[in-house]
Amino acid sequence: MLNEQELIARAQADPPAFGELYDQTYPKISNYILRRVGEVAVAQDLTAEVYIKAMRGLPRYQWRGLPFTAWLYRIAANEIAGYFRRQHHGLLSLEALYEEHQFEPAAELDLERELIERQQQAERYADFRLVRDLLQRLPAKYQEVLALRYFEQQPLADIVIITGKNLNTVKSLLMRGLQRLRTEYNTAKTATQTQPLAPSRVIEAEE
Amino acid sequence: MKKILSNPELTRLTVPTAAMKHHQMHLKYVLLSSAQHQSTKPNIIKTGWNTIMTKKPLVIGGLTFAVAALALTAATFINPTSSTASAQGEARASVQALTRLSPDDQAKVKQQTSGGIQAELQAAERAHDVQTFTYDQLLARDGDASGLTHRAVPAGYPAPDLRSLKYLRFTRTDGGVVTIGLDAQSLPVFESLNDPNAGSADSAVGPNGQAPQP
Repeated sequence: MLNEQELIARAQADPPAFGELYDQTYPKISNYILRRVGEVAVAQDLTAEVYIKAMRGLPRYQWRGLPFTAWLYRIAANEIAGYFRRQHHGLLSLEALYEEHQFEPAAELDLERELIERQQQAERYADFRLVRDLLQRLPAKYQEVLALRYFEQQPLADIVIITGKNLNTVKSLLMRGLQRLRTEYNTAKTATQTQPLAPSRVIEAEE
Repeated sequence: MKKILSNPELTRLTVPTAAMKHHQMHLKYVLLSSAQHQSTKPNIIKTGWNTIMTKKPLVIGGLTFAVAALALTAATFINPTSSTASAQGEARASVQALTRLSPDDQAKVKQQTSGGIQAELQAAERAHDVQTFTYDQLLARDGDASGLTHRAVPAGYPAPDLRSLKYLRFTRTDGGVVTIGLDAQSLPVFESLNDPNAGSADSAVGPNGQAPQP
């Protein structure tokens, strides 16, 4: 079995061999994006963007002994930040990709069913939803490190690699991010005394 | 202060994990198709055009443009033919591999696929639309209708690892779409037929050409 470095080298020489790297990393990256944005449809579109960019950038990728996923997390973080900046505009959907490649998916119903089921599943975690909704009110620099630390359970050393920031900066961002998270919670709590907390975006599936 | 926002509680926070298998499979197909396309696409068009626009006198520009036009023509007309030719070559190699087998082994292969597998391979060799596919490409394209997910294996034969096979697909003269799975030795170990006249979806072909039990 090929190790990660060999897989990358093979995919650089033969782009269709990218499939194995894709299969190994897709669950991590797609879930990271889903936990950050909270909407399955958006997460799927952003995941597509990440992998399109990764595949296009792969010929320039240089192996430095760092995990390949760190690079993908970094692309994903940029895509998520871009998404929050432009909010819903210009996403590269799977449908658009299909159109580009003149490809008609036969199992479109499966995709839709999966989308609704996963959205319902994601909305069941009350504590997680609370933290995610509060997190989305913070500046992107805090969101990224807090999500990597508490959603992805990444060790500090890996967050350093993914974000490209030094260890002290990461620690400081985590500490200040947590403080701001609590402040946001108090603000939201005060606001609920007059009006309820903004509801999470939930896709209600028709039974 | 809500307890969940303390560091230890956040560290233990239960996060949702979603397996988006269908999206994963579809996106993979699109990515790999795109990669295949990119790896065969010549860059000479772009570089040639840049040369005309920025660097060289008109004569050199004209020459470059001519080369680019030739490359474009080649990309348009030669690539589709060469992929068909390559698939036809695979079919030919499979026929040869099959004929090299002893009569007993040939009979075993026919038991695993259909009695007419050799004729189907020869038809693939002549077909104008024959193409090669991977397992993922076929599954992403056709889902369960690919015949890959509900195949019955004849008693006494090991089930082939369908993921490792290379697939040939072509349209027969009667309109039926045949998919043949070839193993590493180019021997056919899987066959499915989508017969439009039967009015049904793909069905995998069992021993001696009979449809397997569902």
